[in-house]
Amino acid sequence: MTARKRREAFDAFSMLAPTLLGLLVFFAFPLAYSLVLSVTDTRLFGDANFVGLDNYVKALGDPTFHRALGNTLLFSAATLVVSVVPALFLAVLLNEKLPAQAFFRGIYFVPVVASVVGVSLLWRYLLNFDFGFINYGIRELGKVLGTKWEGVPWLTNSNIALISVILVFSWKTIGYNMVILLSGLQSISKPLYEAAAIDGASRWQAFRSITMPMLSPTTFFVLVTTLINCLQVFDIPYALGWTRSSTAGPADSMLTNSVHLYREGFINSQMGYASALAWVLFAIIMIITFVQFRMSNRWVNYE
Amino acid sequence: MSRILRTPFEKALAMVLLLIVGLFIIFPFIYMFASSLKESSDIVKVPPELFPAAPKWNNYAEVLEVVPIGTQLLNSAIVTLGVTVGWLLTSTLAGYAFARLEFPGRDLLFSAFLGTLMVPFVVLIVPMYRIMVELSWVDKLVALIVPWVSTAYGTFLLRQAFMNIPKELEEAAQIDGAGRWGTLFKVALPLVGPALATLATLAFLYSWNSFTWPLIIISSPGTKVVTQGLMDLQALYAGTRLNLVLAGSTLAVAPTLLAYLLAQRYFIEGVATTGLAGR
Amino acid sequence: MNKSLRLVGLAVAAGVLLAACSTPAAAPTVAPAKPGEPTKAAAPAAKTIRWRTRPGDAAEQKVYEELNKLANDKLKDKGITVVYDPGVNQDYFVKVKTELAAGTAPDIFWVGGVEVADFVATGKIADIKPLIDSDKSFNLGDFYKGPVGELTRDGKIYGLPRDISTMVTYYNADLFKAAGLTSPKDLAAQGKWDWAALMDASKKLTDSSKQQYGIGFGNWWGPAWGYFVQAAGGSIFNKDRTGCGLDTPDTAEGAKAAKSLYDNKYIPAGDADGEALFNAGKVGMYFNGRWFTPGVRANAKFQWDVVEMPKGKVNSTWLFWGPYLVGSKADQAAAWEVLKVITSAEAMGKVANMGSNIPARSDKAAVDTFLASAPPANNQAFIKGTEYAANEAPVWAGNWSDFSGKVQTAWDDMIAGKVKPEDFGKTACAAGASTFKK
Repeated sequence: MTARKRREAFDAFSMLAPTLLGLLVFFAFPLAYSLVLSVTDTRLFGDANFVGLDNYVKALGDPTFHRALGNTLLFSAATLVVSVVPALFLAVLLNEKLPAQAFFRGIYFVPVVASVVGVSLLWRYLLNFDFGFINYGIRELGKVLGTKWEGVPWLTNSNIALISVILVFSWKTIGYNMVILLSGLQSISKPLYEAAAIDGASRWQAFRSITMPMLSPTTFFVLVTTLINCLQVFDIPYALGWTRSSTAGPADSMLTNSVHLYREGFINSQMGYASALAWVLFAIIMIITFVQFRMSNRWVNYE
Repeated sequence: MSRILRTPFEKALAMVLLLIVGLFIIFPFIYMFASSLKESSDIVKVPPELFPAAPKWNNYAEVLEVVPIGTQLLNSAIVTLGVTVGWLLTSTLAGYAFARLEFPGRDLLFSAFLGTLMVPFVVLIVPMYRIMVELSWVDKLVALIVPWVSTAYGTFLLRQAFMNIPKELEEAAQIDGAGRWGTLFKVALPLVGPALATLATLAFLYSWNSFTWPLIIISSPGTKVVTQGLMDLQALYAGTRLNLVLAGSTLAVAPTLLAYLLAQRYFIEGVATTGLAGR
Repeated sequence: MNKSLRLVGLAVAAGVLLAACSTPAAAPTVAPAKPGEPTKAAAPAAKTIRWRTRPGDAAEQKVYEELNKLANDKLKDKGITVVYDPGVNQDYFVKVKTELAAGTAPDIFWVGGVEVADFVATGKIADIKPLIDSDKSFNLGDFYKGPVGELTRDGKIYGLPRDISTMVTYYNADLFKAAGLTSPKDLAAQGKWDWAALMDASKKLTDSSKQQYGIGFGNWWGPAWGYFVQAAGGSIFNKDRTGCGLDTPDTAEGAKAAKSLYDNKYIPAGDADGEALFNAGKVGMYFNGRWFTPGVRANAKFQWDVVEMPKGKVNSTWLFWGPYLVGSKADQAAAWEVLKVITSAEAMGKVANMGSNIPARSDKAAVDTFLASAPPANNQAFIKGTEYAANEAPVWAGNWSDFSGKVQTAWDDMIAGKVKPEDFGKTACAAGASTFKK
């Protein structure tokens, strides 16, 4: 290496030093440490014994883990739809240069900046069966339509509780997805549409053959990031699902993998087991993301 | 020229739809603020009413009495400031290194940086906690700042920003004899102002709203941050004074909402350009 | 030029780190930082003992702040400063456990009776028997035998009970009158306060057009599966508490009774929200412990009172209690002094007066103070319950939080109709079996 190149490398590493140091100490090291913990039976205190893959085997056979995994996957699949499709729809509308576009864009993004703790409590009241406004709206709507609707037990019925989590999470992220999709739409070059118009293409045809393909990298990005966030979701199910009996919602219906691992580690003091659960979750995320990337070859258009 | 909405009718329809959706999105906040001014029994009234008969601004005074929210706001501010400054510094340096400098293993290292974004935070909670114990940082604000100062996301953002400025200016400076560091601070840095502003706003958002980690690490009343104070308020008053709980929520949410209203451009543009809003 | 710039850059980075380390730690933590040092204090120098207990609501918190003042007054001349730390409410036990692991836990702290085994297992709880034995002015017999018994194990005593609370039925007297029903208190006096009466009142007090419910209770082991199973003659554990005991026909009876309340919609299913509804006058009866009283006193705008739990196959209620535990790292002598004050008759009088719980001391003076603390008028109902109450008790042979969580899930599934009431016991025991030590 020439002296100049050596100098450049030295400069580079000294610039990288703070970040690298931080990531090494507070990321790489804990990551490795958690792998080590996962093969021991460490509790919150005291001695640890090496137990090999026992924790992993236990996870695979643990019915609570299965419940958490089922909830997490169901939640993720539903949220992908509920939080992305409307975002796309809104982005398309907002791309039309309607009046007050910036105003709407601003409004939709507001839930994204509010803290989870603040809004979870708020939603617990909104979703309350008796005095919550959502059910009030449902009952009034029922009256208008001439039927008697009782309202939905959003947080207390174990079949419905997960829907509440999907609802709140989507409410919180729809603006964020919309903004990304909107910027993707805005970067599609106009001449493409003009050419299509000249060729006599209908609006729907133009959408299908120009918008969707040109937007696909952005759409893909939104889907991948949303899915990764969904698979590791903690804040909202934890805050919405907290009950005095320490279950995550009725019959653990709001239990996601992250909440389960928190509970095992900090409430049941099983740190070793919790670490194993964390790595299982990590592996699941990597596999699903990898599959997504593979499948993207079929439908994502890069220029 | 609009491509999808052609007739005025369609446009009007779209406006109505956007308005309705907007109302749904914003409604919870209206409810929160309106209810924070009611009597607790009014909140659980059936059928519920949205606006209070006579606004009780006193609720806010009561919240301030019960929960040391002043201290908590201060703590949150300190933590947020620390993290923001940290992010700005580390991201600028690392982002520039990746953008403009060549060194062995650069691309591999950068991929590794990106890879860190895929690791769920929960994987690290347990070991991070043990590390904090070893360092005796448990129950101290340091624990809320230092571990979070290095950011792969911020590095990525700044790298993009630096890559987007024309190289000529930097090359000219180097010909004039400036070293890498000089070039960075004197020439490149002033040109990435918007990216820095975006990063700062996202850092603010991220650290102000974080609650999982403070929940685990901080227990002393004097060290708690706003999000924790809100959870405590909830636990104390969930059965009896819902109005105070909502007043507390409003207080917790207000700073970010305010910051958002003032710096909207940076929040939204930051998200749009890089498509990531931090963890 | 380059070198100096580089150095400046590094210095700034280092400076930020140092600033982060020093300033924030110093400024806001000045007050609580001191209590960490007491163990090194020399004899006459001031010692600080930090203690913590979890208040159920703001009214209860005031009571403990009063106790703190009392302790400081009494121990001033012994050179002990007492600091009260309310801790967190949600995940209180998680918090304390993590603090114990980190060595930053308070010197004295309260835990629920069921948690004692988990905490003793950490190895960081002091055995206070030596302190009790060597203190002639202290009489352990003044405290209720049940809780003290649960705190004694292998010849060691792990703490002193803070207070006790039996579970009772709170009721809205106005609603009963409006519906033309005999009040539960009167029914109890006639010996007719049983499950039939409970179902009847629940039905008649439920009015869905007004969003009014006949009955309510929190969905946790106390008023839910614990009560219904035990009042039906069943039991949560096997005889020596080494395994699950729910797999019996009695459990099925209890489960069926509870489920019928949900099926008929006599109960608002929410947890803490149910309490808010009761306080707002929308629920006829509510099962809860004494800690509910301060909140009801402060918020209810209707006539209310309490009565013992209705009789199922047998009379049953819980004796909830929680001890103050002393950390093994604390200054034992100083902590003992503080512990004595906060469990003294005077302290318990204050607690009783403010209504949040029943004194853990069983002497007549304590009971009288308690009975005089009205509303509710029928405080006798709490005391009556102590005759047949099941003690909340630690599970030495297993992990209570894990076990109860799994049983709760089975219970929730039963309420939702996914598990038949007859199968609830079996399902719960199957899920909970793994939480017991082999």
